[in-house]
Amino acid sequence: MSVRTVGKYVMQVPGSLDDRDCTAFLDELRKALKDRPREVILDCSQIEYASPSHVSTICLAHAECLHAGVALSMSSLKRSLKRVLTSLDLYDYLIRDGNTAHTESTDNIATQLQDRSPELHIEFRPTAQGVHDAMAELNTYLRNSGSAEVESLEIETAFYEIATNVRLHSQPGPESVASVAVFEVEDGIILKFVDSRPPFDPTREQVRFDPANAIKNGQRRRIGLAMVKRLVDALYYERENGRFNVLYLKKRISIREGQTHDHSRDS
Amino acid sequence: MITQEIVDETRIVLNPGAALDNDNAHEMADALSGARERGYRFIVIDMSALQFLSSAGIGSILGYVEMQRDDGGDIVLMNPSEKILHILEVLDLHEYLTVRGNNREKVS
Repeated sequence: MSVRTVGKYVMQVPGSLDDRDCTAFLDELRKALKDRPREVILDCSQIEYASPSHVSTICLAHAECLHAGVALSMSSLKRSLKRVLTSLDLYDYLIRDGNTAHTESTDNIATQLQDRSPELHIEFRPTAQGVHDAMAELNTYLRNSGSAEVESLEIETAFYEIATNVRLHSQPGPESVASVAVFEVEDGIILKFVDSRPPFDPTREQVRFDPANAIKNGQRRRIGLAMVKRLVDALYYERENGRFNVLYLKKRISIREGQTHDHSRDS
Repeated sequence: MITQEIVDETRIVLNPGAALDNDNAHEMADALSGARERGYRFIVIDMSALQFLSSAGIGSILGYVEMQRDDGGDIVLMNPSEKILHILEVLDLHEYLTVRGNNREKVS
């Protein structure tokens, strides 16, 4: 199934894929690339169990888009696919390097926040205590919202890494303030960080974390950004009014306690 | 504060408490360095009370693992909770670090 909107071409990767399906999928992709879309998005929501065919098809799609000079995104990756790609050392390469920048289209994040008010807004001084106080407030919010423990941990950890990065690279002084706003969207939570540091776009940083090499080389730095990129489902950066770094970080959330799953919305 | 407990002439236990993050990662690095200098081959990091582990905390440990292994020893992460183990798994470090005492303990 594929959907075309202006500049974007969304292709759903089938849940099961044999050689004939792979060939047909790639043929469809090549046809789409002839129209030079701005972006191709591989919707991976149907991949419950990632097979070798899925991995090779995704890699070939990545290569086709790279060759055509078209950006490739992947959306709705389930944990099993992420795990397989990570174990093959492909996750960081496919998702973060080269053309593939996000696991979710960046336009989608901006669209989801249109006309929404945050559930929580925290201003904090970029100091160690400021970060800890903000994190405690976030922690209380996540517990009260019924988020699963693992997802709360992932959000808090990502928050800490981003906020600490802000702290370490902020100018000292009373003018230095940062904030984080928490938005609830249909399928997750979006954190919007704003700070007044010089421009810094973490989405452009090439980070590839190899645990074996990290241990061999005694790596002590540049782990935080690698962690954040693996913990969250999307990152989007923009510079606001030439003065503020704005970083959006999206985390998909499973069914919250007390909620029921609306099957009528399943595709 | 990182506490230290000597087990015997080859082993020492370091305990970071509830958090190993940017506030005390440098202390952990100093404690590991000190333990190495005093000749302890096996450095156990007791994670039973650890509730939060940041990248700085992870980096403070990674800085010394290979050196310990080159000297015929190791750094052992003892009794991490499921939460802490999950953070290690995010970076696939559970496959490369020596972790003991949790429910999913590797059999050597």
